[in-house]
Amino acid sequence: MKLNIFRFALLILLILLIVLVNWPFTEKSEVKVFTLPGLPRPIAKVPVVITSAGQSTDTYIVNDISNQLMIRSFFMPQADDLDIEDMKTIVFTVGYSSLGVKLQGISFEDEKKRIEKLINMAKDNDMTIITVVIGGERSNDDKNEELLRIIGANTDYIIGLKGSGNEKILVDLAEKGDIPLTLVSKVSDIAEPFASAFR
Amino acid sequence: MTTVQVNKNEIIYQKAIIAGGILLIIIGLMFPVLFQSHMFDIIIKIREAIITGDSGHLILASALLNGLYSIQSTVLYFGTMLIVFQTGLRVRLKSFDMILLSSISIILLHWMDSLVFEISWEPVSTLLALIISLFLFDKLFGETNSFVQVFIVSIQVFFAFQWLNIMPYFSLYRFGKGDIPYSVKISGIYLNAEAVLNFTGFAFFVPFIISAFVTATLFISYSQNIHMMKENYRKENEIRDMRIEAMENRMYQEVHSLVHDLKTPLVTIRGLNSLFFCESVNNKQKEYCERIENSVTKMSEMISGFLYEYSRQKIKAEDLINYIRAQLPLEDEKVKFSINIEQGLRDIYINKIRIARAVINVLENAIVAPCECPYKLIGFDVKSADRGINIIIRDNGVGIEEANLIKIWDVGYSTNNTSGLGLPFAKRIIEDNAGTIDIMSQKGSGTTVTIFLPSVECIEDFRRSDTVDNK
Repeated sequence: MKLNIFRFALLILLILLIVLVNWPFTEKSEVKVFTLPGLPRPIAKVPVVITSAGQSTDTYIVNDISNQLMIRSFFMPQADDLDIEDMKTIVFTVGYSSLGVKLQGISFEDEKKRIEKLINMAKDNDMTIITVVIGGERSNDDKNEELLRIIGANTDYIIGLKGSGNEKILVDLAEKGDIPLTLVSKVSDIAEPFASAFR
Repeated sequence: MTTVQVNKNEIIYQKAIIAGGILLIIIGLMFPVLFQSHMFDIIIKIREAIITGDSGHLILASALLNGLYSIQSTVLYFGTMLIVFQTGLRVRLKSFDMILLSSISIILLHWMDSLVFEISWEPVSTLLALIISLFLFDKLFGETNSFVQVFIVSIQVFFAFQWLNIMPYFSLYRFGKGDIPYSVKISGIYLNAEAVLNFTGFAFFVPFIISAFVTATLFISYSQNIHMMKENYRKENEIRDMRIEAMENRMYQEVHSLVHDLKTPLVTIRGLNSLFFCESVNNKQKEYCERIENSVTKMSEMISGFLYEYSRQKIKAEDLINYIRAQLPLEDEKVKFSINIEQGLRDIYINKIRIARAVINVLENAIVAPCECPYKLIGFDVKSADRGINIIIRDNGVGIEEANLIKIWDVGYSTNNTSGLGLPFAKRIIEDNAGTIDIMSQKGSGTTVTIFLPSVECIEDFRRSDTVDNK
């Protein structure tokens, strides 16, 4: 009898632990969202600085797309306010990577401060801010969301992935700030809306 | 003393295993710090893949990632199992409860590690690999008792399941949710290498999981074969021992018959000698006849001692000692005897011939024992003891290790390349004569053998009490 209780307790503990380590179970957005396939007219000008918000490798994808579109851009994953002085547009690629942040020798708080500084500088210089969100299924979604909330309120155009865990937040940000939003099916489809912001 | 030593060794071994388990868990927990530079290499490879458009870099990044993750998981798993299995839980809990407890411990360790070092981990793949590893552990360890074999099998299982994390196909099932596997998948999709990643993951997962099961089966079957071979070897030894015993019995019977036949010529010699004595004319002839008669008597006693091994006579202890002394090999210059016989020893009740043979066996052992001194010194002391006499034989040889003392009474065991029959024979003979034999030895300090033989009074008391008990 004692052994059965012990076994039952162990089973419950194991199930709880499995649920806990797999948390959060992000729900997909059920709301029908009408997003733009691209912008009707360009909103951004060159030169562009492409930087990261969270130091994930997603920034390299956006840089590669920019290079393929032959947009005059400067790739600076750790750009600071001085780097963007003469720029017209800043592109944030949001995606938090704990290892990426460690590789750059900074902390999440440092990264947040850097982004806040860049946004202030961009607003002061009347720069266009574009936000690209490729991630959304990562397990560290809370930090992604935090970064998105910082940038999203000040952005001029958001590009994200359809069906990702971030979709709800992106729609929320777009609705609240009246920001144009494009959701694409695949990561390689980002090129089209990205180009529409410049041409 | 030897049993205590064995228990001590077991306790030390258990402590060493637990310490090893704790060390492995610490290494597993510190893994993100210890191998941080290798983790950074993965990110650099993903970047290279995007910059060059070469999905090959993604496969290299995946291999490095999966290798590191599987080593960490295996080390944590192995450390936990070492502790769980050496803390007595194995005896108290059933197999299923052990699996549950181990799962909880390993998941908690992974989770804590990811929270402390902010390095994401893969709960789904790790859990599945863990369940299979624990299942295999139960089967494999139960059969082979080898932690090394368990390690070889479990690392394959963990490595196989890590490959599911880089397959975009399994993203729906919460595989590859961590930071790096997700980056690998996103980059793969961007480079149109989704199918490549799916195929690569599958191509590694299937062979490794099959290999793990095949290896486990081979280990189990190898262990069973070894077990069977040992069993066969044991049975063969038993059969051989039985044959030897049967041959010895046959030889003994033949020698017995032969010795019995010796009695007939002895009777003739005795008869003719007495006749010759009666007819002898001078003292010299009579003296010779008496000496022949004495020799015949001695020989007759020896034959009786041999033929009737349970026959015992009341004799003076000095007679036994003199009989033994007469047979000591005193001619070897390298062996020095120190003989001390106490006066007024009690009479003893023994089979003189057989006891003398047993004591001589012990003395011969003392003579052949390896010695680091320039000469061998053997002490032969005979003293009165409570209800009998003690024969103490000491040598200045290299001695016997404490762990081996328990084996010296086993037939065939020898440290001097001898037959290994002498001491077991001596023990049997002495015990048959109601005596005891004890041995004390320490490595480097020589060996002392004490033989106790009961006095006549002791035997008579024993018989009296035995009769009263029977009444």
